[in-house]
Amino acid sequence: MDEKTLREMVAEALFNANSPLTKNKEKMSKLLSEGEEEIRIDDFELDSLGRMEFCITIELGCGVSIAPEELHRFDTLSALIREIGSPMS
Amino acid sequence: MTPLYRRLTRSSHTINQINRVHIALENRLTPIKAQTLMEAERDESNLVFSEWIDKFYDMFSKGGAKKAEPFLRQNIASHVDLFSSEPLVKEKRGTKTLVLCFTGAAQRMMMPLAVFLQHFDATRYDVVMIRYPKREGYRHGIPSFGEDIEDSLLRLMEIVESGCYAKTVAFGVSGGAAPALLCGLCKGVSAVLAVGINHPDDERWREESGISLRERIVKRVQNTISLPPIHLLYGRESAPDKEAAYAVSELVSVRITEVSHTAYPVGHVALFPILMEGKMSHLLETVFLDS
Repeated sequence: MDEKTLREMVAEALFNANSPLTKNKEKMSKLLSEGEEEIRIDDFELDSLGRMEFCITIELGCGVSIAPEELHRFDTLSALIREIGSPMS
Repeated sequence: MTPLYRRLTRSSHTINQINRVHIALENRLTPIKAQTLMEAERDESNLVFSEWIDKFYDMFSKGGAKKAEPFLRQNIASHVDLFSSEPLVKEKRGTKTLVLCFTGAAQRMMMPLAVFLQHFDATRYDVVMIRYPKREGYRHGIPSFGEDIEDSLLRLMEIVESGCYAKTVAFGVSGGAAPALLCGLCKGVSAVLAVGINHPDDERWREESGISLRERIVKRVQNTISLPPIHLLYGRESAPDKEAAYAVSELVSVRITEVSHTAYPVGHVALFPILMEGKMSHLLETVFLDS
């Protein structure tokens, strides 16, 4: 999967998780663009149910299983993209 | 574990697959079915099940009543269910309050369905749960009832025969809060409780439905002779929700309550601390019984 597809999947996961970030068009546009300003995972502002929904969408999309409790391991969107884009995951 | 749970999780191998089943169960189980699952034998070899059930039971028990409220589900239309202890006994409606509940994107009232229903006395309340397809919001109306939210609300009230009830109230959370407010500005609604409401200038309303939320509220207020009590709640640490609540208060007379907790920040899910402090029933009585 290329980075663009992975970023689109993260966007989809954020919508499914009802992240407040999805209401911010500017940030969502940055999220979808490679090489743009870094987005922090904290910016997703996910509650506990949202974290579950987010991880479910990611797993369904690319087969990489990240537990909701593990999301904090990734500081930034780039780090998360690297993890879910890695064939070794 | 019950056979149902065993069957549903048989092909779940990762925590996310199991969570998916748990979320689906939380959004579907009525109080009686949830209680059956909670009373099932704990399987010590399955910690995930035991932990989930313990959390579920903890929330469920906040409803107070030891006995599960005997609500039965009756599907009214796509995305609309009526929960009543006697869905077919129409004569009883004259003594009951109908609660029209507009869920948010998570398709729940900020808590599992059974936990929410357990806070209503089934002999005195019928509850209608309205959901929308993910990502679409109510800006496209209520599925099956039309593509405009206001036309949909009138159709909904007609279909559920709200006029047959002693009282009808509207309750909305997150993306469902604005429709609950608009519903409350329809004739025949006695009270509104809206939690984490959208800002009246949220661009998505104008972009997707052609009319802004602000215009809709203003028009409804102008056409309403007598406004019901309208209660808006927001979490103290959710600045956008606070801003939205006060923006709405400039358009229509409302009572605003800030929800806070000494031990943790309260964000968008402002009903959660109220639930966990065992104050949900008091909130509902204050808002709906006094209306």
